[in-house]
Parts: sequence; structure tokens; C-alpha cells
Amino acid sequence: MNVIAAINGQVTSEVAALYSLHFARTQDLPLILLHVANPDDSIEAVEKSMANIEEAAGEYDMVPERIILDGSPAETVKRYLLENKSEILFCSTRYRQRKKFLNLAFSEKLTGMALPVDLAVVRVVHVHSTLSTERIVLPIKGDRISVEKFTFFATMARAYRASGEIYSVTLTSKKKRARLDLGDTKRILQKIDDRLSHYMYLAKLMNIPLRLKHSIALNEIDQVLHHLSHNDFQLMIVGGERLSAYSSFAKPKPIERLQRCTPVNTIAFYLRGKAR
Amino acid sequence: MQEKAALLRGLKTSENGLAASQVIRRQQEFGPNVLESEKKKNYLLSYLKEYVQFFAILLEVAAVLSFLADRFAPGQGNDILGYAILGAVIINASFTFWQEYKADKAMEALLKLMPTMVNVRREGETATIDSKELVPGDVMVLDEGDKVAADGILLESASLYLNLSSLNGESAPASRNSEPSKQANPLRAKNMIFAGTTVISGSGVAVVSAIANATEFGKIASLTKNVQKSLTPMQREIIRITRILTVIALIMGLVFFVLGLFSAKGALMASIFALSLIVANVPEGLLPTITLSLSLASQRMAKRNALIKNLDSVETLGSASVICTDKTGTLTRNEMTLRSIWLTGGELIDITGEGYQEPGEFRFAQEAETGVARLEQLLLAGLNNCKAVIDKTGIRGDPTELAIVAAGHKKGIVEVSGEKVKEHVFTSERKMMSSVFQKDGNSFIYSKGAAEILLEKCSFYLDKDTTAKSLDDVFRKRVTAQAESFENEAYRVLAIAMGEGEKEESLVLLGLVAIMDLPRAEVPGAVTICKKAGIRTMMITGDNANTAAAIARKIGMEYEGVINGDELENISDDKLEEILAKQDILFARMASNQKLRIASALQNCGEIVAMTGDGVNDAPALKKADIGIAMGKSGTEVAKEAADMILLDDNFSTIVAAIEEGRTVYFNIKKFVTYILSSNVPEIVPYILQFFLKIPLPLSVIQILSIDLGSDMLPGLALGSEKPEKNIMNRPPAGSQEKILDWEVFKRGYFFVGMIEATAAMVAFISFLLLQGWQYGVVELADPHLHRQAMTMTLLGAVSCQLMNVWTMRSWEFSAFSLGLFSNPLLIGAMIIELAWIWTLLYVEPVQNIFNTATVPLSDMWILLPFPILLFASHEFYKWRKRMAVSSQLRKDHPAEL
Repeated sequence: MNVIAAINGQVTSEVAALYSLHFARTQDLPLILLHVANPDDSIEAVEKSMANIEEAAGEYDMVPERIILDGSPAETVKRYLLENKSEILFCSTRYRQRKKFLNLAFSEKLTGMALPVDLAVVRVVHVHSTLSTERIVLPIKGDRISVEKFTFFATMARAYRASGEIYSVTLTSKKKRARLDLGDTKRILQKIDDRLSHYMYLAKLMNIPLRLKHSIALNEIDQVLHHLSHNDFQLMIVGGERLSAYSSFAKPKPIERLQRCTPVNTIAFYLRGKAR
Repeated sequence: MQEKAALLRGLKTSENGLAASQVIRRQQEFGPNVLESEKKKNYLLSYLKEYVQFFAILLEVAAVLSFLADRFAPGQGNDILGYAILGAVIINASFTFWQEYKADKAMEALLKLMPTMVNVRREGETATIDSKELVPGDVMVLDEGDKVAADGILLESASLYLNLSSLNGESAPASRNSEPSKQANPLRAKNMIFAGTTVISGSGVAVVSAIANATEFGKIASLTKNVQKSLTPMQREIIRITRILTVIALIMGLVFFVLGLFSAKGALMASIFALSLIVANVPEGLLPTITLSLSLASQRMAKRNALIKNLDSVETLGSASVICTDKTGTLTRNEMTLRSIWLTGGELIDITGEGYQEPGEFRFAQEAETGVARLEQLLLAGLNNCKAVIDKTGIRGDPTELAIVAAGHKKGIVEVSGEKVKEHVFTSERKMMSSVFQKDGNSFIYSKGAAEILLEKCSFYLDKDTTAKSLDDVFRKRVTAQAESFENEAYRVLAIAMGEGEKEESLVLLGLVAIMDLPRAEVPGAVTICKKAGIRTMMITGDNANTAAAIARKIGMEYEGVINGDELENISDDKLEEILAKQDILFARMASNQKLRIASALQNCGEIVAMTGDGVNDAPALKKADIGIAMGKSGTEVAKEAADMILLDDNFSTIVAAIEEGRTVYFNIKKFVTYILSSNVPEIVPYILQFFLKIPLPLSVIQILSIDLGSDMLPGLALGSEKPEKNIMNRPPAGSQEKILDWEVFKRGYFFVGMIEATAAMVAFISFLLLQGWQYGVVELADPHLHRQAMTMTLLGAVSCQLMNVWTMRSWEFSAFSLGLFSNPLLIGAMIIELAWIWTLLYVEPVQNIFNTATVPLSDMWILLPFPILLFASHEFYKWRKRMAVSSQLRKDHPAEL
């Protein structure tokens, strides 16, 4: 099993690779720096990026392996992943104003594919955040959190010795919220607390300072963006759902807006498996 | 140097900037440097949504049923009814939409702070580019007057000062340099520059570290944009009222439909009957009347210096339970006043007259022969050392200096003595300044500064006999003690000294001056009103706790604890809520962004929060608060756009006046809801009676609409503009305990006044028919004109009672006679128009044809007379009984006080 970082020579892919490096060293897994040669990328820039990652890895006595393949990027990566047992693939994603169905980004193609590995899609807005990540937030809807997502979040928190926050957003309507009294609110939040209590316990065992915060909101993305702006996080981890790229013609996926507007570096974690 | 190299390497750039190919790739990766603006509201969709509300759907179904009834039984006027109901739906939807139609321009104002063009260095060349094209790694070149387009880290700087007020609210220029900083808070890191700020002076070169939403300015924009406001108390109440009345209407309609089905009336008649009851139960005029009432109130508030931007805010003000207010300019005058002088001869002098332009007197606590001369010498020394100006051209300069100049003017000292030749400037490190003057060939130095600093420079003091005596340790201690005594009173203390020569040494101390930004004269009264009105007041200030506490004491603001900005950072949200639920807190040394936390915490405690603010970074808190209040004089455009209300005079007492107006509106709405509900009973009862008794139909549905959307509207509106009741500010905040539609409203509206009106309507109908020879049991009248006359009598029975009802309903608790007949001119106008309306119903044929009315002989009108008088007298008696009960309860509860 290994951790793969997709490199294209851009500063954002280098930042994504740095996150993968910290994940790999915490999980004690080998790191592979993967590039699929294509005319858009400068091979010098790719090699320079790889050298930078190797230099950073050297500080932890790690020696990443370089792999350069030829072919169509997404298909080639998929083929490679099917042939080689891997744990997770890190890649960066870029700013997208709106989805171009005829010209999907590399990360969009990957999230729509059935892959045998977990996928971490990194949206970089602060190049420097990998140097000092002190607070990481994991927004979830209500009490919806999988063991895998929590494990990924905990690994990143441990890698950076950062404090973590699970930010639970319970959706409601304007009218329902107006009717909520203190008792109702406490009941709703207590239920979530109870369901997430074992994760809090796990974090305690792993020595990760973790707190749970709640909010009852009308719009989950607005609320998360509001929370990010109001706090000083350096990294956000969100759970992504593997959906076909064409599953949302009419309405954009919430995660797309989150990745477009996020004020902090954001890793969308997609669990391995088939896309709906 | 190593750090700079690492920084550039980390951002994959160089001091020469990025290459063109790198820029293109980064623009793809990071996107444009623009803040995500708000999605444009689809107003058509919002308007159409008004037609699928609970109330509207009910009426639309009624309209469809009317048209169906007309199809199966044409010629009975059901089509007119259908159109009339649809008209009511359109009126309601349009009014509600108008109320909600409010453009939020806070984002637009924020975007104006971002520059359009920016100087960057790329491939070694400096060029001016569109700021949207900026990417991380770009090298920005900054000069005086430039607006900063992105967050960056300084590589070079020369005397660089930035205006960071858009981020931290501090208007004082902040110095920046390229020295690496270890500050965790980026705003405090001296080597960071930020988007949305301006270069005041100097120049610099910085590498872009973040763009667009990832910048600190982007976070403020995001906070402003993504604030999710709850429903206002009025919106909640309207939803509640709508729901209750709709359920009543539906249940009644359903019951009588089922009864109709089992009677001999048949399905069609049963459904028309049920429909009539539904229409009778729905107060169609309620929403337009509320909207108009709020609109009129906002006009009245504008006359009291409170500009309302959002109609709902009018009544939310009435519900406000906490006012979080700034200190400077709101509670205080924002004009420093020299209040006290201590002369080194030992005299203490109080000075009257506040602000920069009020005249004043100097009152010696203990008069000395040379006191006035030494006072004048001190004031002249102070004036010689001030650059501030107060003259006909205006008021300019540092507030502390302005206070000294104003004190000099009070004593008639307006001219400096001699010619200024040199200045030892003030710096925050030196904490003092001096000016050197030349007079008659001699040089004199005048100094002012912090007492402990200036004392070090003084060797002498001016004694009572105007001679300079040596400044020994005992006297130094005396000066220090006096300075501390002033400081304990929260005064800003300056020492004033003078000497010969040009150097700041061997000076003669003249005395101490105590300066303060005094509270506005009207504020203590306003704070007392708040206390009585059950409104908590909390001060949130950037000043230190001592100053804040002194002002709080002076204005009578009670507080149980003080929390500083740094302490707040270490308090969890839960703990903060716990504290705020129990205690009134004075917040000192607060950064503007902490206001948002305080507002949220108070709201989580169930409070309705009114929050003042003026800076760009106050915008999120102003939007979050239930009532955001921006300062009209000192506020930024962003704050004004984000606020619900703008204080044209920046005065705290105006907030209290606006709250009084808001409460008045709330209780006025309660009165006219009762008034409108009263007329529902004479609309419903005739139908019920006609169902069970063998009588002709007493009132047609179109006549019901003529009451709801015609004769009730203007008097209802006039009730909405009644003046505040005597005890309006002695009640708890509106909406917290007292709902608009509570049992008392039902009791008075439906079961008391409504029943009298229903009796009046039915007695008028039956008596008129009996007088015309009708016999009980005849359901179908042979003469349709007689039927129309009888129905007109029913209508007049209800309307005449409503005419008196509006007079007695003018006060919820007090006698109508105590209000003055002409104190509400709108009501007089409404009465005249209503009488004219009744006249048209009686005598204008086209109107008669629409509303099924007919002329009734005046000789038969006497039947109508007793009931309005009965209604007025009985409601006045009811209120008197209520007052008596309350005062006897008070006597029981507080026997000693009464």
C-alpha cells in the first residue's frame, strides 16, 4: 500500500503533494510522486516540483518514488491504480467558476470514476498553509461522519499536531428555526453529541485536541463559509460524494461552491468505490 | 535574507516577479482576484412565491370555487366575487412583496474598496494591470495613495503606513516594514499588507500571498454576505396569526360544508356556503394594513433622526431587548473637553461648557491672588504647543489639542505669543512634544506630554507667588498623585511646562490638564428609560476598561462585569452565552470583529439585539444583529449599507426614541388586529344564523369584502399611527411576553366587541325586515330590492359599530377620552372617507350594483343607533375594570410604595 501524489508542476499540485507527504509519514506508508506526461505541463517544472517534495521528504527520512507515465491523464492514472495497490491519491484542483461539461478538470474526472483508492482533492488558496497548520476543521451535516473520513481527518491533525474541530451543521428552514426554542435546540444538539461521542473518545485516545461545534442553519455552505471566515483555520477537510460528473446538470453540487469560495485550503475526501 | 528567499521559493516566484506563462497557469489554478458577490435575487420568483403562501392559496381556492359556482348557477354575482377575491390576493401579494423588496448593497459598497488597477512587477518590468489578474506569487509595487488589491508579504518598504480601518476599525495609520514577523495574528504582523486597505504614505514591494475570498478582506465580505438572519418577531407573529386564522376558517368552512351536505341545501350551495364562511374568516386587509402602518412609522422615525432602511426593522426595534452600543460618538460627544486643571500652586479649577464650541467658565475650588494669571500662562503655553484650529473656517486637528484650544478660547486666549521657530515632534515612544517660540529676541520652549515623562524634563514648578521653585521629590510625588487621581476618574492627563531656550530640559512645570470625551447630556436619561423598559444596555468599546467604566458610571449604565478583548478570545462560546444570559457586561478593548461573536451569543440567549457600528469590519455584526444600527455622521458606506437603521445624529438617545416608536407600532398593530377581528364576527354570524334559522341571507360575500378591504382599511391604518401610550416604555420588550394575537385579542375581538357588532348587524337586519312586514320562515323574499335593503342594514350595523370601535380601540388600556379628540388627524380623515364610502354604498347606483346594496330610508336608520354607543361604553368600562384590577394588584404587591 502506498500514498500517491499527482504532480503537474504547478504550485498547487506541489502543495497537495506536501499534504500527501505528511499523510504518508503519519501512516508510515511510502510516497509515490506520479506524473502523466502531457503537452500542457512543463517537464522541467514537474521535475523541480518533485525535487522540492523529495527535499521536504528528506527531512523525515523518506525517499519518495518518482513515476512518470504517458497517456490520457485520468485514464492512465486509473489504469495505474488498478494495477498497483494504493491507499489514497492526492491531487490538486483548480478554481472553476462553472462546470464545463465538455472540458472536465482532472480531479472532476477522477471523482466521477470508480477507483480502488480513496481520493483527496486539494483546493489550494494559501500556498503557505502547509508550513504551519494549527487548526483543522471538518464540517459535517448533522451527525453524518464515516469512520474513513474521521480517520483521514485524524491523520492530518496528527501529522500537523493541529487541533481539530468537527463542525456539525443541522439544516432547517427559516420558519422552523423561528419556532425552535432552547429545549428543542438542546435536544437536537444533544442527539448529535451522543452519536459523535465515540469519535471524541477516539480523538482523546489519539491525543488529538478535538472539539465539537454545532450550528443550525438555513444553508450548509453559507454557514460553513461564514464559520471559516469567522475563525482562524488553516485547513478544512470535507467529505465528498462520488457522483458522476453529469449528475448535476441543473444544480451545481454544494461542494463545487465550497471549493470555489473557500478562504482556507480545502481537502475533499472521496471514499474509494463506484460513482453514482 | 534567507527568510525572503524561502518565502519567494515557497511561492515559486522571484523578486523580479512571475513569468507570463506562470501567470496564465496560476490564473487558471487560483481564479480571478474578485470577491464572490451575492447571487442576484430573482424578484419575479420572489413575487410569484407570494401567491403560494398559506393565506393566498386559501383565497385562490375560494376564487376558483366562486367561478365554478358561477358556471353552475350563473347570475348570482359569484363571478364578481371571484374577481374580488383574486383582487384581494393580488393586493396582499403585492404589499408583502413590496415589504420584502429591499436591495442589499453592503457587498457593492465593500467592492468599491477594492482597486481596479494595480502596479505589479512581472519578468523584471513594472506594469499596471487589472487587479482581477493578480495571482499568488505576483510582486506588487505600492506607492502613496494606492489601494491594496491582495494580501501580501512585504519584501521592501520605505516609511510605509497603511490605513487598516477597513479590517480593524482603527483609523490611525499602521506602520509596516519588511522585517519577518512571528505574530500569529496576521493583522498584527508588521510585514503583512492586506486587500481593501490604503497606503497612507511611503512605498513598498510585496509578494502576493492570497487573493479574492482567501484574503482577510474576503473573509469580511464573506461574513457580511453569508450572515443568515432569522425571522423578525413580526414575521413570526404574522405567520402565527395567518396559521391560526386559516385553521379557524378551514375548520368552520369544513363543518358547515358537511352540515350543508346533510341538509336540504345540496352540494353546490353547501360549498358556496363554506366558501363564504372562509372568506368571512380571512382578514384580507391585514397584511396591506400592517405594511402601510410600518411605512408610516418609518417616516415618523426619520423625523426623529432614525432612518429606517428595512420596514420590518420598525417593529423589531420595539422588540429589542439588548442595545450593544459603541462609546465614542454615540454615548459620548466625540469631542474632547478640558474639564479640570490643576495648577502647580495647588489650585484645582473646574471648567464648564462641553465640546469645542460651547462657552464656559473657570471655577476655582480655592481662589489664589495670582491664580488667574498662572491659569492664563498655562493655557497660553498649551495653545502655543497645539496645531489644532477652531475658527470660522472649521474645526481641525487632534482631539486632545482641540480640547486645549477650546479651553483657551473660553478664557479669551486665541493668539499664540511670538513666532514658532522649531518643533520637537510627538512620537508614541517619546510621549511628549514641544514647540520653540521666538519673542523679543529670546527663545521660549513650551512642552506638553504624559505627566510621568514631562516630570523628568522639569526642574522647577511655578508657585503661588509666580516664582519658579525647585521641583523636589516631595512635589513630584504630589504631581504624580494628582495625575493618578485624574486618571482614576478616566481623564486623559497631560502635563504642561515651559522654559527658556530651545532644549527640552530644566523646564518649569505649570500644571496638569484633565481631558475627557464627555457623555452626551441626553444619554443618562435615555439609559434610565431603557432600564424601565426592560432593555439591557451594553457598551462595546475599543477604549480601556477604566475609561469605559467611568463613562458607564457617569451615564448610569449598570454592569456586573468587564471583559477585555484578549479575555474574550479565551472564553468559549458556551461560556460567553452563560455569562451574557445572567450578567450585563462592559466590553473594553474590543476589536470590531468580536462584536459578531457578542451579537451571536446574545441571540443564542434569546435576546433581540440592537447593535451599533460604523466601520467596514462592523458590517458582519450589523448584519447579524436583529437591528444593525449604523452611524450616519461617522459611519462608512459599508456599515450604512449593512445596517437596518441609520442614526442621522449618531446619538444613543435616538436609538431609544426609535425603540419607543417601534413599540408603539407593535402595540398599534395589536390594536388594529383586534379591530379587524371584531368585524369578522358580524361577517360570520349572519351565515351561521341563516344556516340554522329560516331567514333570508343577511350579508353577501361581496359585502364582506367591502368591509375587509374597504371600510376597515383606513381606520385600521389610522390606528397604526396612534401616538405612544403613556406606559409604553414601562412595559417589557414587545414580543417577548406579549404576542400580537393572544387570548386577550381573541377575547376582545371575537367574543366581546365582535359579538356586540354581530348583534347590531342581525338586529338591524331582522328589525328592518319585520318593519317592512316580513314574517319569520320566509327565506326567499319576493322583492329583491327589499332583500338588498335588508342586507344593507346588516352591513351598516357592522360598519357603524366599527366606526365607534376604532375610537375606543385607540388605547389598549386607557380611556379614549384621555387621548384628545384631534390627536390623531389621520383618524379624522379616515372617518370622513368612511362616511363618504357609506354614502356611496347607499346612494350611488353603480356601487350599489357591485356591492348588492340599496338606499335605505333615513327614518329606518334609528335601529342602528344604540349599538355603537353600547359598544363604546362597554369597551371603555372593560378597560376601566382592567385598570382597576392592575392597580389593586400593584397595591397588593408593593404596599409600601403606593
